[in-house]
Amino acid sequence: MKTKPFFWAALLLFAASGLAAQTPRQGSDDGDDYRVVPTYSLGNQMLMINAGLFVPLFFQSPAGDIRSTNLSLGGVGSLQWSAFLNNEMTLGLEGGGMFAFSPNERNLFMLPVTVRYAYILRWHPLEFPLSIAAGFNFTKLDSSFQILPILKPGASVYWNYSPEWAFGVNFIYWWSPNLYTGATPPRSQSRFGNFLEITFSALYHF
Amino acid sequence: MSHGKRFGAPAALAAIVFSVFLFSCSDDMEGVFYSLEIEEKAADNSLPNALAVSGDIIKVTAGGGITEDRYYIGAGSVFYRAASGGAWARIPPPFRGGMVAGIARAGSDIFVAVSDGSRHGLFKLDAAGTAYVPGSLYSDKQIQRLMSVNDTLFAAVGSQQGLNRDLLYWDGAALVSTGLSGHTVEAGAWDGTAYWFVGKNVFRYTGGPGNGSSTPYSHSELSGKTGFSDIFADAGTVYICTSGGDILKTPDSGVNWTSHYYSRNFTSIAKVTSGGESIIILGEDGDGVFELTDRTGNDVAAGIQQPGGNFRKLPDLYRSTVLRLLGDGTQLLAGTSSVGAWRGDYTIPDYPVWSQE
Repeated sequence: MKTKPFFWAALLLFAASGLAAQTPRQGSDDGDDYRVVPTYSLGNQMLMINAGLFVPLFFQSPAGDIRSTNLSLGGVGSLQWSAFLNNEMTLGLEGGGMFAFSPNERNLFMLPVTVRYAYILRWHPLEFPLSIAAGFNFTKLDSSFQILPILKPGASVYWNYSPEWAFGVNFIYWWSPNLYTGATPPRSQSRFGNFLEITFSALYHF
Repeated sequence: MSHGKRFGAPAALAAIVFSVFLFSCSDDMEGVFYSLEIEEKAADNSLPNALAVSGDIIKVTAGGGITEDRYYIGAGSVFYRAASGGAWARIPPPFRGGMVAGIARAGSDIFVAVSDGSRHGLFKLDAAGTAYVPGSLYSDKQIQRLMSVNDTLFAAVGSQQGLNRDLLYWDGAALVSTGLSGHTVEAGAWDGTAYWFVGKNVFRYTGGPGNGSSTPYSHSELSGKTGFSDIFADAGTVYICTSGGDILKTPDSGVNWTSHYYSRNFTSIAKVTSGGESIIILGEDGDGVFELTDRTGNDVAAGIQQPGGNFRKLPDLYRSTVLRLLGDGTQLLAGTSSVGAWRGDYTIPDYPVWSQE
């Protein structure tokens, strides 16, 4: 159970590396086979809006014990801006939020603000960005408010509808440590939050 | 400049910032994820869960037209149920918009103070205890608190602005003066020798209920203490708590006192008994309830603790402000300011089982 997230991450990377070996066909002028494969360079940007489901996976203690989050299935949404460093890499900012409910209808809100790096594998008209985001997770439960760190590795699939517009789905893992070192709350209440974001995206290149 | 050096400084900065936030700074008692992990669904009876129980909780034993032991709660309206269990029933107010300010039983009568801000009065429930008897028994001043002390009804009255305060008692036909006036009164108790009333100050008097005086009781142990929020008498021993964090105890009607300060805002006191232990419970503002750790001598200086059992798994309870407490054998009813009433079943003293009424 402890290695679950890493197993899935490795599987995704393996699948993506196979796709990376494919060489996308370039556009040509010889008749019906003509297709425009967009390329991007430094200075190109994109905006993305994401919305979907938030799946609470588990909490993990520093000792490795896995516990239920007790949270309901939730909702998540975000806005993202990225700039191309070259045709394969983007760097950007993402802000979003999620909500889910505890057994007694308490609301958990988490609003991560992250810096996101993505490496894009292409198999036109599909794109397969592999991303990692890191930042701060503004977390609120009832009257408790904390700023936690967060890491969000993920993989996506986008279909390029046009050179400007693409649509797709994201599978983003949220890993957010909630660690304590003082007397209250005690160290024994430290937990690593593990969640999964499944979102649909609309992406605009400009 | 190499590629690695170019990204070295931002990466180091990011690592430092990330490290600073890696360990959460929190004023909370409990970890955020941890509190979710241990949370469990509260068992829930039929009393609405968003009520403010600002109008007392009492137990009425069977007798007269009342066929069963019952709990009555003043929470906007009067609600009641059989003490043995069952659903809560609501008694509609005697006039539109009327809110219960207090409920108390004296003799065979159940009295209820009702106000809507402009109208106010003292009413009585019928013999069956299920409806109001038409007509107000008293309406000169607004009743702020209603209490039964030594089986006598007392009413702390005054204007909403806190003016013209009086402590009155029911002489069988009307509310009349006790002689204590000009002071707030939050609660009262009878220790077998004297009447005690607390508010901003403490008052003690003997003789009949009308022998009160406006001169506060004084003792060196009470010096400097104020904001007395509740008083509870247990077989001659009197406990008093304050909103400032003091718990006081006198076993001999005020001759000797012990007290201890805790950094808590105590609101109320009650007692449950179970398995040969007597547990003094204190309601608190923001953290539910606390118990005196000494369950045999009830030493107020021995420390306080939050209850065991499933208490810490119920955030609505352990983060609540408890306004009123009623101890009844192994059962504790706790009325809160915004999340209704909760029941603690202390059949197993170290593992009380809490559920929402």
